[in-house]
Amino acid sequence: MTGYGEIRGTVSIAGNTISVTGEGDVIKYRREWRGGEYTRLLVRPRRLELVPMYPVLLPKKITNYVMVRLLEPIHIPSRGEAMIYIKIPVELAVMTYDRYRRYDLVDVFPVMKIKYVLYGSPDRGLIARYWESVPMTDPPDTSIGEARVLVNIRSRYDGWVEIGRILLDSQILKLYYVPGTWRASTQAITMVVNSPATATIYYGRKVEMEARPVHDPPGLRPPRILARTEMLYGLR
Amino acid sequence: MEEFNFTSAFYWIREVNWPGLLMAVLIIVGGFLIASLLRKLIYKLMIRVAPEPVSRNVSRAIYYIIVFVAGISALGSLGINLTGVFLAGGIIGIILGFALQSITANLFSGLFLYWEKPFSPGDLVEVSGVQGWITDVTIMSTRILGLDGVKVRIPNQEVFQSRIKNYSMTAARRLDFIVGIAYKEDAEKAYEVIRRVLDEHPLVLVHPAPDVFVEELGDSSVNIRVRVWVPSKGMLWYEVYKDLLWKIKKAITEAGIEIPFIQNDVWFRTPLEIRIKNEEDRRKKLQSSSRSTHRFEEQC
Repeated sequence: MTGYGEIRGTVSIAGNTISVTGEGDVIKYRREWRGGEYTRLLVRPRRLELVPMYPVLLPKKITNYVMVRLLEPIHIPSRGEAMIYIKIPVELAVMTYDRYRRYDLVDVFPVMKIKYVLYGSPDRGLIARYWESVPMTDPPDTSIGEARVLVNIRSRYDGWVEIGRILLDSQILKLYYVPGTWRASTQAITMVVNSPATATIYYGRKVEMEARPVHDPPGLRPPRILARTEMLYGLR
Repeated sequence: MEEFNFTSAFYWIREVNWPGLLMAVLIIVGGFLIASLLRKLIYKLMIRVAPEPVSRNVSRAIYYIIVFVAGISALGSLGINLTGVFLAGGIIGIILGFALQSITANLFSGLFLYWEKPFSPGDLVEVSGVQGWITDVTIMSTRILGLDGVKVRIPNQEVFQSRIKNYSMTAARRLDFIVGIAYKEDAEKAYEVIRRVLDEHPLVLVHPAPDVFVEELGDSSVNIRVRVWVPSKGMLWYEVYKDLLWKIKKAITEAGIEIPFIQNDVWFRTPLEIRIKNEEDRRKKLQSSSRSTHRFEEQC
């Protein structure tokens, strides 16, 4: 398979072989990988689609947060601004749709290595999916298992600030993808630096106009009053 | 039918302590008013910081205490001698105090637990040696669903006095393992193998970073301590605990590093003579067979 989109017959993706077999009302979805197999029976699905998925569901859902460690920290001057691109990991998900276009999550599997991190201290911190990314000034190409994030950094602090990590909340983050390609992205992010150790992350609008939004799995996105993330435990 | 005696009625009315009676009525009415107001006020203040049953019970107790004090004061203003009542009340109080000692202790422990909040329902805890999830915290006892599936009720006094470990209060917790390798092995190679296993495990946190070091030169092995941090949520730590030690063992064995058994070298002061039993048996057999052959030849 060469990109996100509809799954038909048998396809190979990142070491996984997905097959959709059976005729009539019930079809069998099977994913095989080295040392394992995952099967589901689906009743009258209209179509199965491969989409990028928020990187917080594997091996179990234990957090909503993704923390990106910048491999090259950024130094922002007082009241300064910067626009960078970073990459975040995405899982691959198989969604099924019925004739009323209602959907359900059938399968999620990883492409990238999964690691978690504690942001803050054990008693007051939070667990986040860990990822390392080089900050880039030009929009990077994404491959399978990656999504591009545009980050606008604005400092309100009177002095230089070093930024070495960015915390994103998958409950507010929105994923978009271009069918037929491995291009995935999120909405634009604005990081407002309040002090050398704290920042607020705001979530903006979609950047890639031709991209389609990923349907959120049920329960992932509860209603929120404030659509922002506070980074309270350091920026380095 | 006895006629109504106006003289005696007038006498009774004249004998009544009207100012005292008026004072008693005022005290009773005032007492009820103050008690009702305080009950509402205390309930409204307490509901902000304490659970509803505690707020309700405390405000109700204060209401009854005020009404009781008002009643006693009213009787006093009527000139009724309450020494006997107080004496009887005191004796009953002492008896009740002894009888309800444990109940009172549990009640107050429950109140303190409500305020201190060392745990909430759903938390994974260890209380009085019982590990499990808190299912309910009442004014008298705490109920825990043990990890073995057994429900345990612990009186609040015992909970209050015991050491409480709450595994759900923190985002992450540390797990420790000891891995012993043979003395002839390279500990740094073992570090590398162990770190690779830790790096591959998704639930071993990147930060706080895992710690791997030689902790002890043991009797028969070099003991390497492995410290990792894992998410506290649910029973994830237990899954990591089960999974990780076996993976480390497998990786170490695959890397050709020996994990020794416990060995004891015994040294003797004097040299020992070692006899091989089979050899001796063979010699005896040979000797006996040669003797019988000799006898047979003699007979012939």
